[in-house]
Parts: sequence; structure tokens; C-alpha cells
Amino acid sequence: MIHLKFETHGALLIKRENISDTEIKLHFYGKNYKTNPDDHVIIKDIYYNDLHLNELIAYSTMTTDNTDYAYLTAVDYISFNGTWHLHFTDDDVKAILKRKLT
Amino acid sequence: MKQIDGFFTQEECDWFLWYDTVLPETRDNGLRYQTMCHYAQPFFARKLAQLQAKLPVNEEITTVNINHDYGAGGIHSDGYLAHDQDDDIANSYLIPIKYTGEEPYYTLVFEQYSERAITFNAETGLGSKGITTYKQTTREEYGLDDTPFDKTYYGFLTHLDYDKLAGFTVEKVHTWALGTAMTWPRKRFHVSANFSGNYPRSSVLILTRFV
Repeated sequence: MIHLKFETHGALLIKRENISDTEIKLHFYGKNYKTNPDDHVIIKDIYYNDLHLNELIAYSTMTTDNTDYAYLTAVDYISFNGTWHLHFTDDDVKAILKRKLT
Repeated sequence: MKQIDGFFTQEECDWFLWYDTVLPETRDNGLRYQTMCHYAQPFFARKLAQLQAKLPVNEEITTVNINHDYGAGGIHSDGYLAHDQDDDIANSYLIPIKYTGEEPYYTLVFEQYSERAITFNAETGLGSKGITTYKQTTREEYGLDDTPFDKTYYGFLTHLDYDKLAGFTVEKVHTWALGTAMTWPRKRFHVSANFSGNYPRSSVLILTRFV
């Protein structure tokens, strides 16, 4: 039940892997760092069960093929090949809503 | 005043039950646990659009809340409060989202009405239970006459003092069905029929104004 909206720039490809209602992986691939160094993808919006909760980005991590940036957290700007991982719980959603409403 | 079958699918009923579990605040008003849905918050926009699409184009949602009833309430109208007194109030939509069917539930709508949100809870023997924002009124203040209440309907309202129902006349008895919206003009007085409280009972209430 996770729905994402992207802003894509260039030829960075995305393969989605659904793990559960609250966990997905996005595999980014195909970027040629020499010919298209500026290609990137921005995760613009995150919906969970129809709730627009971009704060869920805090529960994302990414492993990349770049040795200097091999492991990243809270990533909404993807410019490397690699795997983006989002995993949260309903308790996390409740905490986000509590912060937004109080 | 009508019922709209299939207003919510089972999936939509389940969605509200889930949403209730992730919202931070539920209030106990003495007869029900109530959760405000924060329908105007940006994070709810997609859901609000889905709800709005179910309604007539000349109606705009002004309230969405989730209720888990454990006691039958009093006679009241869902008219305007101080913050929305200039609204052209429209309709109430009450949609059961958890209902086992083991005990029939009813909601009665009266011919009498009030544009302002008022309640006869104290006057009919319920005290202040169930009251958070609505003004308590009395028979005298509202101007009910002494015509005895139709005993045909009193079987629904045994939680209320019979003598205090004089002057009220029932126009519609809504029968609960999962996902079916029961509707009436917001200004109309209405009341839950008595129930045992032995079974779960949850609903979504949507209020609208004309635009």
C-alpha cells in the first residue's frame, strides 16, 4: 500500500520490489556515470494507505555502488545505482501523525 | 432522507478502522469513543477527495469523525456551532464500518429540527454523557408541546424518559447495514435506538454544507 511519485531526470531506471504493505525496495540501475553524470531521480511524494506522508523518507536507507557513499539514510535524491529500502511500521505512522497534529 | 447502499466497501470500512488506530487522540465522551479524522489536513487530501466524490456536487464536507459507541445517545441536531454558524448546513451521513449484525441497530430521525447544534441529553435523562460541544436545551426552551410520544416507537428509545419525549414525532427509522450511508438533513433531530453494548459498533459520521 505504499505509493511513490517520482521526478526523473535522465535514464536512471527503477525496478520495484514489494516486500510487504510497509516495506519496499527500489533498485536503481542503468546509470552511466561517464556519459550521464547528472541523471537522477527525486522521490517527490510518499503515500501510505492513501495518506500523504513524506516524513516516511526518514525510514529509508540506500546502498550504492559508490564507495564514498555506500550507505545512506533518509534519501529522496537518488543519483547512484543501488538499492533504496523503505521499511516502517504503523507505530511509526502513528508517531508521524502525532507530531503533525500536536 | 435516504439510505445509500454500498457507500463504503468492506475495504473502505477497514481503512477507517485502521486509520483510527494510527491517529493520536481518541476521546471518550461518556457514550462513545470518538476520533476526529482531521479531514482538512494535507495528508488526508487524497482520502478527502475520495469521500467528496461520493457526495452531491453541491455539498462540501465539513466534518469527518469515527465513533465507537458503547451507549445509546440522546436526541440532538448536528447543526451549526460557533465556528461554522454562517454555513449553509446540508446533510449528515452516518456509515456503519463495524457491525456484526447479531443485534439490529437503528437510528431515528424526527420531524423537529434546529439549525443550531443542540441536544436534549440532560432533559431526557442522560445527563451530560455524550456531550462535548453541543448546547443542552430543554423542552420548554425549544418549545415542544405535550402531545404524547407515539408508543409504537418507544421500544427503540427505552434509554430515554418517555414523558420527556412528548412533542417529538418520528419521520424515519434507519436500519443499520455495514457500509450503507444513512442520511438526513443536519438540522433534524435524531437519536440512536437503545442497544445492549454487547457487540462492537463503529461508524463514520460525515457532515456537509451546501456550496
